[in-house]
Amino acid sequence: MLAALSDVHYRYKSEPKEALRGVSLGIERGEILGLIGPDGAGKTTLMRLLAGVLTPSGGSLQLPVAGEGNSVGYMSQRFSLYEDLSISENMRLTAALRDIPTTQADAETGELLRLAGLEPFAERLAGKLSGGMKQKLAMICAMQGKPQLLLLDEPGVGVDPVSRRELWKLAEMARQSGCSIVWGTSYPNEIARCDRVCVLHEGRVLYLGRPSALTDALKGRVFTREAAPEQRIPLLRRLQADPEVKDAMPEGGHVRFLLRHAEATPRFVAEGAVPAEPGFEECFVDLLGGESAPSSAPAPDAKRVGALDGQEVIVTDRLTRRFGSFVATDALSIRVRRGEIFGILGANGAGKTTAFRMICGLLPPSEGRAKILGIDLRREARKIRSRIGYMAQKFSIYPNLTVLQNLRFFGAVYGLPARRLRAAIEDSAERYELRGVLNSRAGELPLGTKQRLSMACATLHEPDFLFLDEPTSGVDPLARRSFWRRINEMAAASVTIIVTTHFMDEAQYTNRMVIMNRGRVIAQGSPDELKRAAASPSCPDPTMEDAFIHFLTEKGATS
Amino acid sequence: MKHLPILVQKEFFQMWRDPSAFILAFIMPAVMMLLFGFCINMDTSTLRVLLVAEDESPPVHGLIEAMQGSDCIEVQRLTDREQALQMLHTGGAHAMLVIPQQAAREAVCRTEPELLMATDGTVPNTARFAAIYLQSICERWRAEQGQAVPLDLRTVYRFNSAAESRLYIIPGACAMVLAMVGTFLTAMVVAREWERGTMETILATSTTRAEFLLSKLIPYFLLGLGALSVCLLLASLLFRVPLHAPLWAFYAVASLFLLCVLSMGLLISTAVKSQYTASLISLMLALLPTMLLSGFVFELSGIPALIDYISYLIPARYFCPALTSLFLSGGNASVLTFNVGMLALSAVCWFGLVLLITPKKLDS
Repeated sequence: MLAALSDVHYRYKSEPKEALRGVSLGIERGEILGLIGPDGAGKTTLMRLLAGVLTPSGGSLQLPVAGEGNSVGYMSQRFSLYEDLSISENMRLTAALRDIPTTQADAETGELLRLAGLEPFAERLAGKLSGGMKQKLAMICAMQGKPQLLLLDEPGVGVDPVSRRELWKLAEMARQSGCSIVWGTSYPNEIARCDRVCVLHEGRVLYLGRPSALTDALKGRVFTREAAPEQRIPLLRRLQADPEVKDAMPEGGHVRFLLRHAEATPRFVAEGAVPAEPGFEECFVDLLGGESAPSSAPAPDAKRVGALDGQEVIVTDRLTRRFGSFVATDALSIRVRRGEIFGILGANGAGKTTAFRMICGLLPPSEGRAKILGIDLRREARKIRSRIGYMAQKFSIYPNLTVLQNLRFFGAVYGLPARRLRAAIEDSAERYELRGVLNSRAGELPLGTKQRLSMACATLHEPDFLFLDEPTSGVDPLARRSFWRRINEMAAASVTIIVTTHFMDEAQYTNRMVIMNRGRVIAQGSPDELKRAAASPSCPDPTMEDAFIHFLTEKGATS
Repeated sequence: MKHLPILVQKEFFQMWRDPSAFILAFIMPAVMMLLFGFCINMDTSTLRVLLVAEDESPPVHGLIEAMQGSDCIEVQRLTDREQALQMLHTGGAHAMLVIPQQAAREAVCRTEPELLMATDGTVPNTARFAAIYLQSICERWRAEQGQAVPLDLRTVYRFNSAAESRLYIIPGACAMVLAMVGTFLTAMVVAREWERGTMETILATSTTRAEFLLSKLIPYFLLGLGALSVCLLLASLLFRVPLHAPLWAFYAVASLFLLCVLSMGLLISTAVKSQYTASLISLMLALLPTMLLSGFVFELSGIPALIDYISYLIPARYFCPALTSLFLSGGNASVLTFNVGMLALSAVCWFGLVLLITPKKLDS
């Protein structure tokens, strides 16, 4: 046993509730321990205790060699290196601060830079690196001095799949040299690579053991069922309302669902369901007891259903935006049909947000045009603006106002008359489960609730077009699920939705999507089409992430 | 202390990359010195006076000529009192003097001549100068008429002596510049470490609190001395305010003051951890009190007792008199002993306080 926690408690000074409520956990030598849990579960607090930047308020904590700087390498959740220092300066600084002898540090630096593929950029300022490169730099800084314990707090968040694979490669390498790794994450799919996994929830350990044991427990309870595009939402709704079904989500042209008990299997198989391999996301949902109120969503407005006429309502023609000599978005042409959920997928900096802002008329294009219902946004944006809902990347709500005040403000901004506003707020509070927090300050809400509020603010005026920029960034799987359930409801009510994301599995929930890289579209189609196109002899049944990497490496090499 | 060199080096790298620190340390002092030196002028250069002479007899001519002959007043003659009052009211002049019908006769007949003077009270300093000056002209004129010499006739008002007020403005400006560099810059740099999350990296290493604080103190101490040199150069070359004391004494006293303000800056940023708030608080706690309570702009003799006590907490209160003394007389022993002693004491107190509250852990 390299490190051990027994009955560890921690409470932050400014918080009434304990962040950790009696955590006991041992870290074995040479293992990768996945630390997963929803937002606010206590992952970061646990990491900080292990890193020694916090001291437990109760319980005992046994660390490798107390006081030795290089026994523990810590990579915090936020990028915490100096942006105004170069890569090599940062490495020299962290090595010296962690008491690694200069000769050893110098010998290591070259090797680490090479492994991370950062060698050509050694003199570049850290602030000028891409998100993925920054994470790799932070990771190799933590790996300096060959620590016995490497603490990585959500290294994969906000990083494109290619960089994420490189981060894993680095971690594997550290493990081979005998290092134990704690890998914090909120992506369930990442735990497949861990030796053991610890699921944290509300400051307690919910599960500790091998990841395969988690999926094994779900064997025989996961099914998929094919559905034609127009049947998908009704099927999804039916399944979600079924008392035997614990969880249901779209997956390309299928609907994937989890049963509460295997006994109900015959009924669903008779309806055409096919057994499927359980995924970690379902394990997570299962462990946490499913969504809080999966079937309470009010049915969509009846008069709007049925307007799905296949009309192309959003059309862009070679939409281009330059910033100086830099082309952020290059000749983007898309056609989105009414009631469609259209995804713009890409790594950070691929040009998603720029494209997105031009489509909804917030940013004038350098070339090309975007039309919604045939109206050119460059000229007559005002005509259509009241029918557009927009949710910005960094939830643009006022942190100092209460939830109710935020809703009132945004309703007023969209010009809702008082009576309609009251009704709309009533409705939103119900639909987005905000009733209990109406008088709390928005800034103090957990991330998932903030996201619901932000969504409620963007949809108060019942827009026909909804633009969502990275709506689920940093939100845990449960919150993401309820978010997508609402999106599906709205699409069924013929609201047209454009959503950007860098979560690969989220792309499965869209009807069609484009994959962007360096401002260009490198692939487009439905999730199933894209996965099929990416299939190869070595990878006959690719996941969305495999497909993404396939297109990125194939097209990236030619450009 | 083995981490200190690399931390100091890091600080200099950062300063080099983000030249705003250099701008604050070298351009700001120059700008402030020029502003203080040229714009804050306690003396009034030209007084605009309205003269309404209702009596035009020969003795009065003497008075009018005396006024018109003065370098520091600009006389405008009017014929109507009402018109003059109106002009004074609209700010067209600083003061007005009315010589009534009987003035000359009264002056000659040894009775008190009645002259009417009005000043613009909205600019009290200037009004006071105008009153005193006009009074002196009138008294001199009365004396020339052969009357008894009033006691204060020989009082000399040295107008236009801009250099006079500079003598104490310059040391004050030095204090402002040091407070600026010391408090403002350091407040920003520690808060920046918290804001950008780099503090977490530092806390995760075996870096001690003393190492961390010294790594912030040393670079900005040097920068502060640089800023001080800019002030000194400008003071002696441009404003002709020579330093009478030896250089080492000047730098020694300034160093003590720098230690105080640097510690205040560290204290602020450790307490608030946000650059924006830190800059506002350092403005309120360091710059404004330095300006208001050090006695360099405003006389401290007239302030309420409570505020007077508070001013003893402000290091600039000791620094300004010490520096003035060093500049003007080369150092008066009793002034220096008290003020330098108090400066040293505040430096120790402020730095001790910082050491006390700098957290060892993230959440404290």
